[in-house]
Amino acid sequence: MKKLIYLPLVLFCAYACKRPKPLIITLPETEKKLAISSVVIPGNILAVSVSYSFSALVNNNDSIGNNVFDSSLYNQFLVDHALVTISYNGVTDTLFKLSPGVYATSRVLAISNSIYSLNVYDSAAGQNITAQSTMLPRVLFDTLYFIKSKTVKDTGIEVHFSIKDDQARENYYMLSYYNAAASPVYNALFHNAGKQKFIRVELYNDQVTDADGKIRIDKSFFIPDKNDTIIVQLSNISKGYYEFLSAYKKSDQLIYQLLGEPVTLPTNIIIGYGYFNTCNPSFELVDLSRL
Amino acid sequence: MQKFKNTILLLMQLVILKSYSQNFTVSGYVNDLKDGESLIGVTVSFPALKKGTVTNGYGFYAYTLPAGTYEIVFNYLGYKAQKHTIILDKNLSLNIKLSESSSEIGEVVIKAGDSKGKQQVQSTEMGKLNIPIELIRKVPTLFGESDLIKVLQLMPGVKRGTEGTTGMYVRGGGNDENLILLDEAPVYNTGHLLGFFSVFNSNSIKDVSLYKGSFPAQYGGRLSSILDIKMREGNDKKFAVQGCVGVIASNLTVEGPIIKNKCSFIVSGRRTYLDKVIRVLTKENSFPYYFYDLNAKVNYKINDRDRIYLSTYFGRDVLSAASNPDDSLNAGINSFVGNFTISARWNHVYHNNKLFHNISIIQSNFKYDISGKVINNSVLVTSKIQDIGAKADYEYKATAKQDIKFGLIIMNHLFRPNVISTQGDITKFLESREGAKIYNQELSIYGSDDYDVNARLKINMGARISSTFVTDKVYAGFEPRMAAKYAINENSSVKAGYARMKQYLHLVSSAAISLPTDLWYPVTKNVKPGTSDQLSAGYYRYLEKHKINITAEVYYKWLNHLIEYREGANLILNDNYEKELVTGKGTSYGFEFMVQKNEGRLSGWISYTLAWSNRTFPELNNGKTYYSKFDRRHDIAVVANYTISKRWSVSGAWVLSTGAPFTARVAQYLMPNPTFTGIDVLPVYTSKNAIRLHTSHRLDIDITYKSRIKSRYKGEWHFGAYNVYNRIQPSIIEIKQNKDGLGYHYQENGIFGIIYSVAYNFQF
Repeated sequence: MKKLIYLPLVLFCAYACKRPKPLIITLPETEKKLAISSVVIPGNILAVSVSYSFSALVNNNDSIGNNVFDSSLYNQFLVDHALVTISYNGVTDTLFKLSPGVYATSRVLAISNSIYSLNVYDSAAGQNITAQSTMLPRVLFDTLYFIKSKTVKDTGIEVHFSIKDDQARENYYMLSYYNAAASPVYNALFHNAGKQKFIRVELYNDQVTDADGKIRIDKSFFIPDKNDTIIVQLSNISKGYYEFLSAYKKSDQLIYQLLGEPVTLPTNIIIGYGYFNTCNPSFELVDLSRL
Repeated sequence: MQKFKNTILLLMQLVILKSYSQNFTVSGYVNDLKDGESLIGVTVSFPALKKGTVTNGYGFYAYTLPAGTYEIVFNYLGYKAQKHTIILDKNLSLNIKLSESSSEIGEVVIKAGDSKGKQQVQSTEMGKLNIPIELIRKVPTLFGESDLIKVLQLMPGVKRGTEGTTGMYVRGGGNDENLILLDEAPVYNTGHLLGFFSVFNSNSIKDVSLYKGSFPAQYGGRLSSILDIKMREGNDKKFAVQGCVGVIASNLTVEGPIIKNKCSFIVSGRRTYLDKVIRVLTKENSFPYYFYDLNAKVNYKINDRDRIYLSTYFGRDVLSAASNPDDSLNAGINSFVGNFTISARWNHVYHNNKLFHNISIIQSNFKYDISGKVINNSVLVTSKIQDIGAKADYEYKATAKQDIKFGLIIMNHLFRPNVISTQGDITKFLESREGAKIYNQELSIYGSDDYDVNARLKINMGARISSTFVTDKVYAGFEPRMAAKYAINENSSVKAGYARMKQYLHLVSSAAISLPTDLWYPVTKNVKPGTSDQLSAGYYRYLEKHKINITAEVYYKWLNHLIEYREGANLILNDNYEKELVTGKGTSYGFEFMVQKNEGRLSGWISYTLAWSNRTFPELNNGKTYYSKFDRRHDIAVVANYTISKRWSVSGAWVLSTGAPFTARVAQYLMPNPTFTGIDVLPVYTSKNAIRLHTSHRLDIDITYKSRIKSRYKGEWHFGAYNVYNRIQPSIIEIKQNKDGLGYHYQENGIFGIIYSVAYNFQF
């Protein structure tokens, strides 16, 4: 009987050895907003993607629990019934639906230094966003050439280019390389089915120019197929879009997600996410097999 | 040297010419009768005059009075008071040895405790916490390891960082805004095992003072607090040993005379042994980590006027998982993180008995090495900071009303961050580099005057001029310090103060994780020194009958030229860190309340803090003001120790704290990449630090049993439990799938549930 006095102590110890329950953090409800992205393609084509934002905690394979992209998710959040218009120089053009969530027009005139206004109305959710962007003058490479650099173990690709910078203004540039396999348009043209995708985006500003006002860049990088065809795209972009892309690059990389501060992406969309940009790129096609 | 002394004396005489001619000074050292340790903060009072002073950090006091006969009383908590009658017709040297009061229950101790209680009320110092070392040993802590920093975390205005760690945020400031001095030498890394244990071995510590506002002029160099720790000097009467055998670590302290009553030493060491225990049990090196530290000090009393001290601290955290050639990866990792400090000091009392100096030569090193090996690749990363400097502090007891302090400090800092050595294929991605050698020098001079305007009003006016020399730039700053006390009566007063502080170093660390490998850097041409301006006021009351101190303080602190990291900044091995920094400002304000009882069968304290800490950076959070990560609205600590009998006592600590703020990812959206060749998912975060973790609270207890009381060999068992009611103490934020499989949720998880501990202390 006397031993019973130890029972409460034993029970307490047994209870105490249980791992304590984690505490759930309640986050505020987030309002669903429209997210916008745009691209200008030579041939007076402007494409705008329209989708909904969604909770970071939804049940999908691409939420914060998993970084693997699930294409079925894409369809779920695409806005399929938006009225998308673009206005510039007194002209207003309504974009047609190219595919779910993507609206396009082939009648946009690329007029340098003109202001382009975007208006998107989503009739289903009753949401409306607006945005403005200035189309900056198109820039061309002053020089651009690729070299294959061979080492004992590997073959690398070196790219050398220069851009003649307009010294009268503050300029920002986006240089992107991608292979045909990465592009829905070029993939069909070059029959690249099964090839590994290669996409690389770099950002430059004009803070470092040489004596004759040129930006010169020499870089080397790894590409899976040394005989691939590379599309090189150069755009003169706005400061706002440069800042958006800088933040975009950081938020996209695992190292920053693990060790860096959270990144807030800037936007020029009024009551929405994303960025409406009207940079007018120049393209070069480079066949690496001929190097 | 004599010429230098004469110049200082002449200077003092010019300043205080009137008073110098008619008064005499009584001065001396106060020591413990049993072991000869100098006693800091002993009240030296003249009851007839209702005036007095306290011993300084070296146990020295001096008081100047007109010629006459006086009764002088020496009071110190836990010691029997001593009363002497002195005839002051010339300068008088009076060294005192106080004996410990028998603290056993039932014995009446003459009002020794009044000294500390009244000192707090009567001095101009505010925002100062003096932690009795016995208290540190009584407060229950994680794994039963008594820990100075964790006791400080229970004080008002001091908030803890991650659960169980030794992070310390004082009045809304960051961990790097605390200057921690161990026998005058700065300590850069205060934590072992990722901060779960502080580097300070309580057996080797004599006195701890934390200043969080109204800083005396002799202190500077950090924005938010100064933690001044004095090591024990060692028993100069006889050899003594004390130690503790704990669950994961043990320590041993040996002290004794080298020349009886003149020269003594103390050596104190500590080591964890979980690595050894696990190796014996499992026959595998599955926990290849340990830490150790060693404190040593020697002091020599040359004569009544000169004493010298040499003290050192050496500590290491070692992780050693050697590579295994039989393993296909042949992977291994080794690291050590270590502090080393050494200081040599010379105390001298000048012939007029009014002037006292302490001259120190100081060195402090902090270094870490991390090396790893996988297959044929190896990498070694090293960083270090080294300080070498000198300091001269003078105290001049000009008159009965005036106490002057002045001095200078010069410090050379060497920073050697991110030295990298690589071998194998890894060299393609991470090249070896020597790392920059960055030198900078800090020079500061200061002066202050503690002046009794009348019986009720006492003021302390001071200033510090600090400067630093960095490449292409010299920064200098004027730091005024002011404090005033108005005595309402003998046992209550109101005080107000102002202090400006400058900081010429900052800690560059990743915001997402905190590692001992965070790097210290000096200010640069572009990164300006941080500045804080703090106004504080308080009410102080001593309830003589119950031996209870009550303090209530309010403060408002403006912080300028603070640094933060750009969004997305990555600081790991980043020498070009300056580009990742942004500057801004902040404010902290709050109310602190404390009721403390240091005597009797029941002792302890209740503290409450209500505080705000904000930051505004043009380049963060869209320029909007946000809560700093040190913002905690409410903090409550109830600490109690109850002596049940001569053998048994119990202590407990209950703490409650508002959760820390953090930035949560709340939404996301699809975004075609800039070339429209793929789709990414981009995150949407709340505004900075907009979400708060849950309020945390826990109870820790410790039961002490004294196994031997009267024998020379004394033993003491401690049975403890940390987090008694087993509540999560949040330290990790996780994203987990919901139980129903639909969606995810954020949750707080902790490292520790309830942790039992047992420890055995002994001394002989």
